[in-house]
Amino acid sequence: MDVKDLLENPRTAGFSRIKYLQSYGTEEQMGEFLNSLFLEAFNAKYSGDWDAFVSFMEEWEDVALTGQFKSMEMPEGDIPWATLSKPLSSAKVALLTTGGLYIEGQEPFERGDTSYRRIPSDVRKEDIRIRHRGYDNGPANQDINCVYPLDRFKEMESEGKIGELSGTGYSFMGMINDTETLINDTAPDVARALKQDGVDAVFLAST
Amino acid sequence: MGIPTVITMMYKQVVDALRPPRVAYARFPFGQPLGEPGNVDQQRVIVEDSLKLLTTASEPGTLEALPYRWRREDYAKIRKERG
Repeated sequence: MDVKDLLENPRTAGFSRIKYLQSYGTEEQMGEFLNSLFLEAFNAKYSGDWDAFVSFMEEWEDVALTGQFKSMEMPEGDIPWATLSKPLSSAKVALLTTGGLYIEGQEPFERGDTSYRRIPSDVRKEDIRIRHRGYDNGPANQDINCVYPLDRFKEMESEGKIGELSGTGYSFMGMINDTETLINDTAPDVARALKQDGVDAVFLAST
Repeated sequence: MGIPTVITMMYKQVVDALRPPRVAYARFPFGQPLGEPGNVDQQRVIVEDSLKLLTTASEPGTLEALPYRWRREDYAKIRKERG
């Protein structure tokens, strides 16, 4: 049996990080992980120290993600910075996500899609759809607040913890290789729209 | 003047390289940055901690690693203690 097959697993939340070891790790790493897994599991069983086991798993999750990350390109230059000009309790906040959300009737996202969708804050939640292959959509389909905390922001608005939830949110696709279009066209377009909406601050949920 | 932004991210390797202005990092499963379906308390804790960075972060590239261990926390209690 191929060592890769041993790491074949269902697309469940628990596997969301370690599964990248199968795609980006070396065979040697996969073998080392599986071999240590038995040892660590039995150590935990007999010592009762499951925190050590969690640390072991997290170390290997990091190995897996570092492998995946190496194939990505990152922008250079200064970190953008703007500060909040008023207290949060009087600020208009907009909700953004890279979860691939769109609304029934809008064009679904395609793979690598650099466009964006407007999500009105008074949308019926059952009309929100997801098209994103980079994560298990199951939990978010069950409760959209997992990736787009619309209800939580409405609560905070009515409790006065934020001034106001902006009437429009913006949704993007993830796993986009064409970062140039994203940086030069998509992001400035949305920034202008947010300015027009009179937004004071942005909360972005990355999936 | 730009718009102040905070991001909840779950991918530390990308945070380190991308260097967004303010990040609340939690080691949650991909696809659930705010928490589990129906877990209002968990989602609220993450939202509130993230928004807090808009007022507390004093320099570009602030990364706050949130201490929550997914299901192994009592989020209702955390919220209650905050009042």
